[in-house]
Amino acid sequence: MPEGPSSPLPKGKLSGRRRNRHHVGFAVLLGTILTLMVIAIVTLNALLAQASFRLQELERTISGLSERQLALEYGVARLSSPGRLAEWASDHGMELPGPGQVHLLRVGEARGSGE
Amino acid sequence: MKRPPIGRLLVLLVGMLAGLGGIVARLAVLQVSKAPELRSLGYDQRLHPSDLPAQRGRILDRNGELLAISLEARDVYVRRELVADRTGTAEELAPILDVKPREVLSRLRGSGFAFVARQVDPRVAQRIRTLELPGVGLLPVSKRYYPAGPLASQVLGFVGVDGIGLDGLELQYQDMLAGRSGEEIQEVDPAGRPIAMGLREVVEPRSGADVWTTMDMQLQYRVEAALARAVEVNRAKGGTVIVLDPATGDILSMAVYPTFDPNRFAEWADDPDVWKNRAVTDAVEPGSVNKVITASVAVEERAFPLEQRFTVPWRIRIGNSVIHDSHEHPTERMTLGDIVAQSSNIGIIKVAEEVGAPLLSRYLSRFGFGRTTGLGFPGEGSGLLLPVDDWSLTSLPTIAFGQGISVTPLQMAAVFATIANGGTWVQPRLVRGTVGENGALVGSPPSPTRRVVSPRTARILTRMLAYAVEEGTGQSAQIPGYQVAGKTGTARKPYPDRPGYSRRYVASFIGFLPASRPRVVIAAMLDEPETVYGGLAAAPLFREIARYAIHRLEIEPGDPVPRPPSAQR
Repeated sequence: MPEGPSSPLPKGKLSGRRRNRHHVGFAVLLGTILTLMVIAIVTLNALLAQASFRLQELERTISGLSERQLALEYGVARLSSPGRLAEWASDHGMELPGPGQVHLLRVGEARGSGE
Repeated sequence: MKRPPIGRLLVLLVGMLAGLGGIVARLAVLQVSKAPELRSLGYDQRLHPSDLPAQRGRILDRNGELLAISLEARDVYVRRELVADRTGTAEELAPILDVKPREVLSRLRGSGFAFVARQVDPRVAQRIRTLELPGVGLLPVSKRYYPAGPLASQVLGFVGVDGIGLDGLELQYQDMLAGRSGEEIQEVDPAGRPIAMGLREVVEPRSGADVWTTMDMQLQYRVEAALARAVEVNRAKGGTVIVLDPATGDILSMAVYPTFDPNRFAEWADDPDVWKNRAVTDAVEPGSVNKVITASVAVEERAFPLEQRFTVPWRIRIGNSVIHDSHEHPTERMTLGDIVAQSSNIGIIKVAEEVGAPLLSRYLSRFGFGRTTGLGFPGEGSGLLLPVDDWSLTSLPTIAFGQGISVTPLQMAAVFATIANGGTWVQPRLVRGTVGENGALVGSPPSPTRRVVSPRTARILTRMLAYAVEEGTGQSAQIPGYQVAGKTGTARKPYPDRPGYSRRYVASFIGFLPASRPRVVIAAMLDEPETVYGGLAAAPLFREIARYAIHRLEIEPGDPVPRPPSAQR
């Protein structure tokens, strides 16, 4: 049987291949989108978790600093308490002035024209 | 094709339906009737609630100086059934906690929860945490610290290991200081570690308010030091000093000796008497300082002319009792001013007889005897003042010079503050206000006042009291450049367990300065001093405190007040 010019593929078959190609493309696109979404969600989740850890760490730092401030406040009060100062002064040879040895002078407003 | 046996299929169907029905029924039980219980169990497994203790408020002096503060601490606890090696655990904990291993071991015996140590320093707690001992845990708590140690300890009181005020201002202002604790609910994994993205609900704690007292820390220190010296010099059992601002009722200082360190209050556990703020809790017979009331009644009610002279022997008999002055003297002719200045018991009895029991009783009450001052301090005493109908034959004469009644040192200080304040009684107060979380000071309302005697009476009494310091029994209270008005007191102490009076005394001096414009009232009392007289034992203590108060409060001298009418000397 002589070969004739190749006859075109049946119309339905051609469109099926194209359709398959379209399906693959769509699947790749969908897969990419889904993968990106998953990556985005995981990244977001990780960022949120990191932020949460950071927040907790900051809260702990704030709490620690507040506590440190109170402890320092206590330290200052303890070191400057009159009893401790008196003891320290006494150890260094200081003594309280006797009656009449201290005079407070009240400085009034300046008077006169100043000329 | 052979048809399936319909009977078997039906049996299978019924069996399946029954099984399904059972599952549905069980689901209904689990999801409906047992739902709350199971939900709760689920929460218990996943959610870990923990208390967030509130920061207890501070206590400050009138200038904002710190008197009490709470700092972070840890309670060390043990779940005894989880401890595998008790001896080993005790030996590891003991050196860190600075106790003997057997002490720790005794707390590890038995089962269940127990505290090993309370309120340990966070650094110590960290060392325990690093050991990772099975069954041993740490709870966040706070510990109260008093940076000035024993300063004003009876006024401040102290806080127990549970963070509750047990005495003093710590107890009185417990609700305000304590704040409200919060709660943190956190979702945890099976190992108990918080899940970062899990549920976390926090009810923030509300810090307690700061309490601003009226006291001056520097003045308080000098008062306590002077009191301790006076007790030592006079070989007294103890003593009390109150420094008051007569215009506002502010208590600038309140000292009681002996004292204690509230940082280590447990060391005085066997001696709770030392915790007491005797200035407000203990009632004593006031002695001659009470003559100021008898004299006030006479002046206010114009019972006789102020120039009138009374014939005053050194002793008289009333019923079966003989009452005498502190020293033998020839019969004298004395005015009211002389009687107050010389602190004559016989003289003031004669004045009281002119006044009469009902009037004296009424004024004692108006001056605040027989009821608390309203300070609200825990355990505040009201003293003892019998109704006038119950007075005996000797009541009027003895009450006239301050025996047969009892008052707290604060009540007596308030009497002198009334004279210093022109005849108006002002309720003493220890707290200026509170500072909440917003940092704003909420001032205490002004102290309630009431007029007791007229300004004229207060002026005349001031002249008599100044005369008592210049020429009378209170000369040891003189301060060069300042006119002091005051009165000595020497009161015999009644037997604690039977009627009658012992040979023990309370020596006192209460006064104010400067006499013309009083800025400060000082009440100094010594319990059972070797030198019993108020003029010798307590007046020098008054003077020492007054001298410092002059500098600290920048008190100007003021104009002198004249002597009382027809004073003898």
